Amino acid sequence: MIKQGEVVTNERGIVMQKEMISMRQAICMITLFLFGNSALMGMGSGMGQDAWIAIVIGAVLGSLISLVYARVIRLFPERNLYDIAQAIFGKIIGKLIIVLMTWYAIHLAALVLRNYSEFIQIVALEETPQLAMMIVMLLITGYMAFSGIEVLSKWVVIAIVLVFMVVLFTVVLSIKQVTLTNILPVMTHDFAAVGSASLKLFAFPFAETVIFLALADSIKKSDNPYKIYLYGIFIGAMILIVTFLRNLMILGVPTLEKAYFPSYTAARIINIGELFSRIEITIFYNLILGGIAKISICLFAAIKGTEILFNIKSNKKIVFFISFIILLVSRYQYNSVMEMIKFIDIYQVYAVPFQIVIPVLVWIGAEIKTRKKRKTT
Amino acid sequence: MLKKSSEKNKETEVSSDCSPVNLNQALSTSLEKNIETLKAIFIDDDTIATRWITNCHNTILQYCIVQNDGLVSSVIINENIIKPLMLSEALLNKGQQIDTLIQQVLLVNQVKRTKEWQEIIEAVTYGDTVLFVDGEKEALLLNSKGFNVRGIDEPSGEKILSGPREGFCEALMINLSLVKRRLRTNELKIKFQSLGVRTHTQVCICYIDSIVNKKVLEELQQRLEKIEIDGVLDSHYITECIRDSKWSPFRATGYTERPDVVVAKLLEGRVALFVDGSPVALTLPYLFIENFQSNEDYYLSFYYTSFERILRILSFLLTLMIPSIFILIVAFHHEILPTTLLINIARERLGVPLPAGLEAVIMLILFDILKETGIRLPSGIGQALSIVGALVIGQAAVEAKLVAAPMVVIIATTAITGLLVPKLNAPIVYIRLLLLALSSTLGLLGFILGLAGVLIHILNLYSFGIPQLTPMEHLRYQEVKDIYIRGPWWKMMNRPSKLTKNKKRLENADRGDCD
Amino acid sequence: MLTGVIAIKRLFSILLIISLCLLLSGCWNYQGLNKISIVSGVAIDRNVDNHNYQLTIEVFDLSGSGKEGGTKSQIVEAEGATIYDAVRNAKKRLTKKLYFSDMQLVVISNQIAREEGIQPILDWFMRNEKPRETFATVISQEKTAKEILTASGVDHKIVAEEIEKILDADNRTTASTKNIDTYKAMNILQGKEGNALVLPAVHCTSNQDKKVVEVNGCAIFKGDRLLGYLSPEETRYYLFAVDEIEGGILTFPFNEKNQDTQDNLTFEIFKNKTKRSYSYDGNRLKVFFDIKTTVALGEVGIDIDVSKKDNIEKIKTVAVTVFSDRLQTVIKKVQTEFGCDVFEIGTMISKKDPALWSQLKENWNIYFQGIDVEVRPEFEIINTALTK
Repeated sequence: MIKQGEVVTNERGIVMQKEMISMRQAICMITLFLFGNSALMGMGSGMGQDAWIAIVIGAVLGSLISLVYARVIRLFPERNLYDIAQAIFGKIIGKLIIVLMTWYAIHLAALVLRNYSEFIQIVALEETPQLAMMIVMLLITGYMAFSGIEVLSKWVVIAIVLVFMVVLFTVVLSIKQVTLTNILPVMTHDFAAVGSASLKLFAFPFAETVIFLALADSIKKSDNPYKIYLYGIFIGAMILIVTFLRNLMILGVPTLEKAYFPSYTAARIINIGELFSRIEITIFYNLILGGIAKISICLFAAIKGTEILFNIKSNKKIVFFISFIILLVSRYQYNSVMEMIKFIDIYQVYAVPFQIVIPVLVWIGAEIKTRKKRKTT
Repeated sequence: MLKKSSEKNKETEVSSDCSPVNLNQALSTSLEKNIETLKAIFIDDDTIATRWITNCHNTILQYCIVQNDGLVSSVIINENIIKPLMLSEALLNKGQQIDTLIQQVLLVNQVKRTKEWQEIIEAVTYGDTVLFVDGEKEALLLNSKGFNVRGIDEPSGEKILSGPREGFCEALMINLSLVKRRLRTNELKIKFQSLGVRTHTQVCICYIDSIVNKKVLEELQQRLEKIEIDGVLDSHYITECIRDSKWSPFRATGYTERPDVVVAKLLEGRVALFVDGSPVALTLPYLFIENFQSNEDYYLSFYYTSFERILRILSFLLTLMIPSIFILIVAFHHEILPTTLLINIARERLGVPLPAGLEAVIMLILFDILKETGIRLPSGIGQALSIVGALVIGQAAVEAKLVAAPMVVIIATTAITGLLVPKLNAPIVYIRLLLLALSSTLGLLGFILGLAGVLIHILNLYSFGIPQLTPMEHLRYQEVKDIYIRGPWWKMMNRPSKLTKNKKRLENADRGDCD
Repeated sequence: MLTGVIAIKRLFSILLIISLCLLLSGCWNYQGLNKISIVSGVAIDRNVDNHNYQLTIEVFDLSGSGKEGGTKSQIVEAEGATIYDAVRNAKKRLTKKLYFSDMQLVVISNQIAREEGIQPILDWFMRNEKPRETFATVISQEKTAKEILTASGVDHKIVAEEIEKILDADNRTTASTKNIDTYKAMNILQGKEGNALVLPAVHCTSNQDKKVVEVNGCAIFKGDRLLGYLSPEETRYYLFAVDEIEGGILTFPFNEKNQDTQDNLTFEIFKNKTKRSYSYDGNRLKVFFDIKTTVALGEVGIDIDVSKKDNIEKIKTVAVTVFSDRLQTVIKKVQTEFGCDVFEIGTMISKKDPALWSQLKENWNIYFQGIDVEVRPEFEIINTALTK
């Protein structure tokens, strides 16, 4: 990848510097990333009408860990996780960390991809083999990853405007269908249950923002990474809570719990004056946009990792190769939708090393190293 | 047609392919020898005429003018060249006449001395007269251009309701004069270049010095120098050589035939490129939003034109999406439609043989054929064609149940909205078909992914280092004023930010009045 | 990348592979409109002989040109061991595939509702992604559900659509039956708030010697089994109790002597707000319904000057008494005859005081029968239409 300050002529023949994204774009990326998968799968986790409390707690926990992420970025500005790991731990352990995080990025992309293709198969295109859907989605995300992070961030900004509009639109239109008392009674579940649900939500989606450490070399030195993470998580959590409350108030607890894709089910019910009915298509398209964003970001992180690992420059071959791996993992990781839902329970444990252990290690290492540097200078 | 030459050819080598004369030789002092060489260079070209002249007061002095019949103005040659040469009393010495000739004899506004045969060739082929003087080693190139050009009238592709109606013609100097008249400032810089190995076409770069983005200028110069092409007949030849994103169907430079448009773009910090022989001027860098802007927007009321602009953006989106959405609804997601509409459409489609996707593709291609024929036809047949189109495709095909009525409506809407943004007709054709194919196979997923892919592609478009979609994704107030709507002039304080660093357009803007 | 010819070949082959993948496989989900049969309503019966479900499916008939008289409907019958089985079996006699996304009505015979419960039937409709969750479920008061769908409507020729439209407008115009989306019905069935399900009931009457369908009160369920019906009159008072009434009329006799013979006054209901509250003193639960209704005097069958304030007050007092009596009768009927909480009192307690609810919910149905309900109606007469 292009190093900081390096001036290259890219394939368009333009002389340019390393691509940077602005703070606003970074916040939008985090927000859309959080929205992507979770709005699809719903965040019920058995809590019924109290799930929004679990979301709030999950978001708070996510913000805590994101302070660690932001601190790492602060200590090593304009460098990404892979660089930092190698700088701190030396070649061997550094490379090990890169391998692990790259694998995480690939697996995450595969998970999201599978979620989406299951969703589309159940809801819309029953007979289409999932492989075809996955291939086309990977084509688009591959194109996006190949175009570079600036294009990705601009795309995300445009997409998020559309997503906001649709969420607003559905919330406004659902007024007729809404039963406000669906949210009562508050806190029928005890703290232990809510706590475990929040941990699940912490792992998916809030702590998945660890992926952004791999893209951190595009964040300008002058931007405040704390602000980026916190704003991103805050706005993302807001949208998720609004979405969840809308679903809850339209559907009521039993239907909400039973539905695999509550946003979709809720949108089918919205009906105002015969004109604004059948708007679940907009939800569909909203979710797909979120999915494309999330998969692209993970793909990007994976490609960067591979480049640094094998010391090759980015080109079409790597994109193709990584996409292919994602396709394989996606296709073969579960056999059915039920397994997919079950996996979320395992996921919250499986993801801990990637989301917590490695970043914390890197953070501690980074603190030690910067302290040493300060002592010597 | 002219092809791009693939070898690095020096111009002299090319010329030496077709004429055995060595162009590097010097002119001789002997008039006969010079004329012989000239005749050898232009062998088999019967339009090059020579005229021998002798001064009547001093018959030793001999001259010969070489003129390119048809490109020269006889009046100038007779009155301003031959007459003074013949009648002048000022000329005395053989061997030292050049200065006297230039300063006291020749009544011509532009005179150039030359010792190079290459320059003589270029001058003769453009309509200048070459004067060979006996006993001198230099020749004189005299401006006597008098070829005919098309008159200045409104370009047919860029008609407007009200505003200036001048359009460029094929002569470079006349085009430049139209621009210069509107920009009466010394900051307007005009630089000439010559492109095309065989055609030696004059190409001219214009910009306003204090506003232009210097990096773009440099980049442009570099790219022009890299062009190796046989001949340049039209600005489009150059466009394809210098543009970014070479494989994209979207435009990367602006084309216009109107001087007011060129001047407006120059004032925003852009660079204009003129090509001799083409009425189309290029403006670069090019932003995506310019596809939707028209100069008329600034001559009419801003309420009306804001609406028009939004309409144009909307129709671009519609023309891409309508056939796909229709196929989507009819073939995959029937639940989008309310029941009554669904029943009506289902009823219409009942007897139709072809599946909807195929039908849409055939109708689209038919409409494009109709459109294309309409453009190329001589005007008399146009009427019959529209009747054929309307009756055959519209009426008869529907009644024969070859196509379904809703499909005709959809395709007609698509075609009409497509005509509203002519600058984008290249990408529209392909993207429409692509989206149609994607939505016929993968339904809504294919459609959304196709749109996302198109958006990624547009985001990838660059024009001379500036991303084409630059102001559009920011939604900042200053930018929006000229993008999605057309704000009134007293609000337009800044120039588009990425084009130039010299942003302030109006000093005292936003006071509601325009001093 | 490789240059020149090889690059082009590679690009071409990739494109070819992709397009072959997409195109040749036949566009798996492509379903032209001429291959589907749009369902508007389904009626479910149980075949006594072989114990199968018998479905009567009403589909839109597309063969007419649509210009004369609107769309007609066709009836398709199907049989199967389960609902899904029956739906697929219908394909044995249909060229087109049944398409449920526009289905608006499910009619269940009272026999099934009484004997087996409706939840297993509704499961398929909710699980399958095609039917919209907002369709209406009604109970047929005739012998079979089939008779409802095979009768004709007065306006439309498509019975399911007609019933659905009548139900939709009902609580604004007649207030004689309950309008509930099926997903909400499922919420009640699966919820833990002790709520009892109420569904609209439909029967056939004759209109100009033709058999037409008419909504006729509502059906009361215990769990998912049908217990009995409330008449249209009674349903109106029930709707007051659950705050779902938005229009309709109330008729009263003005004098004592007319009590059983004649109703003279008609109130036209504009707005209604029912506030429900309760008080629990450790032993007994007392529930209060505060009903505030804004009405207009629509019809005065007696000779009285209604512009005078005293008369209005008199009318109001009479109305309040009659209304409370009638509502109490309905409540008592529900408590004694049906013994299930259709008034959503359990829901109210569970939302306001979860601790109390966890105490009471064990034997809620039995408890419900002994609850004291106090009705406090209040009328506000805003105008008397055009005349005094």
